[in-house]
Amino acid sequence: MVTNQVVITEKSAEPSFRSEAQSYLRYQVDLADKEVIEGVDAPTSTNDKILESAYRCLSKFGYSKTSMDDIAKEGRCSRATLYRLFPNGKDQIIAEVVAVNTEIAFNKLKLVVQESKSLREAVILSVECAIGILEKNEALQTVVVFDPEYILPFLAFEKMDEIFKKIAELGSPLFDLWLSKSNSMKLAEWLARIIFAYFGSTSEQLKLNQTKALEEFIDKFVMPGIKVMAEDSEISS
Amino acid sequence: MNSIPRRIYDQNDTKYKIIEGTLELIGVVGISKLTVEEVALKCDVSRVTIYRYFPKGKDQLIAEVIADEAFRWLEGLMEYVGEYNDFEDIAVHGIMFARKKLLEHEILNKVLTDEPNVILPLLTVEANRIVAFVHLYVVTQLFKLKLNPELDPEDIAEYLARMLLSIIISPGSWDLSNEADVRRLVKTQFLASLSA
Repeated sequence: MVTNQVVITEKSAEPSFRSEAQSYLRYQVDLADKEVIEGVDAPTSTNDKILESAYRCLSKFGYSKTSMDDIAKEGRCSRATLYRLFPNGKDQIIAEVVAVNTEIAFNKLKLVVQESKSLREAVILSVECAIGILEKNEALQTVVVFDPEYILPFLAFEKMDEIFKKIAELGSPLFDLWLSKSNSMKLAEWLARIIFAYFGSTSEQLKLNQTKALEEFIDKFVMPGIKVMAEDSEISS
Repeated sequence: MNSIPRRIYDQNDTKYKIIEGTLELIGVVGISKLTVEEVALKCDVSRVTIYRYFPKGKDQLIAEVIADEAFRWLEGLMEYVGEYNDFEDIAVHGIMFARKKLLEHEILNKVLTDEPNVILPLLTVEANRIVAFVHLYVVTQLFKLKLNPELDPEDIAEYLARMLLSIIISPGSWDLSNEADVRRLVKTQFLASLSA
């Protein structure tokens, strides 16, 4: 279903930002899967090129060392074009890169989770896939290492609350075959919390990126809670 | 392995006086603009004295102030949850109290608003120590539960410590001022998986 949408929007006569985002999306998904078909999936619009160039700059230099000039050079466009499309500069481009990457991530999650036959499988697949996406996001990885002071404010306190809210919203469709809307949202938020709480900090106890350890973890710590949560809401409804 | 936040100073100690003065000064000028000279002036000691206690200067001062405040937070928390015996009650009231104290900390909130990029990397370092502390505390409390024998107490403690800190810093959709909501959180996300 998602794939069809991509095709339809791409073929529409007047490309909207949405279709640009989608083609960039496909490009990125393929990049992540190392299945890039050159010339077919590469971004074509200037907007796409800029976003992709910004992504590459962030991957190479991090946040503070990436300049508008770097993005222009990498995307082979003029500074004038860059500022015409993104009048507010670097942060605006990065916000767009994040928005597009978020969309890619959740589309990919949906595709992966669609295959699952049980809630347990959906939970495991979504966590596994989300971690894979985060690990393969070179821009994120570089910025975390080079510019912690830039990224950390997004990952704590109120800003993180906003991210959790967004994830609950975007992630809840992953589980709505098995759970009520409100429980799906709680679950998506909780899984995101688990990933953030364990991701990046070295844990001797748990390596979430190892499938078997992840399955065990989900079975032990997540599934029993979901069961109680679902029973609870049945009683109260 | 991990050093636990602790207060090592006597209240009459010069070092303690400097820590306190620095904290107050952070509340006024923030972290970036703070200078050792100002701290010296405020605490009525010489710069040399400050460097004797804090050889690495300002960075060390700030780090120790944060460690001391984290200790104070945990100390208050431990005292508060000491009133409760039941594991569930400790978790519920501990979460509510910890969140409340965090929101009430005026200096922390001022710095978080004015200089998030300065304070957050420092808090991340502190967070690891807090997780280690909560981990150890949880281990001492697990005997109160009839645990699922398949679970390793170390795994449980690590899970609880990380998730509790996450919840307290960013509650997301959970309302930590509402006891019924926090109880539901504790029951579903923590106790459901721990009990036999």
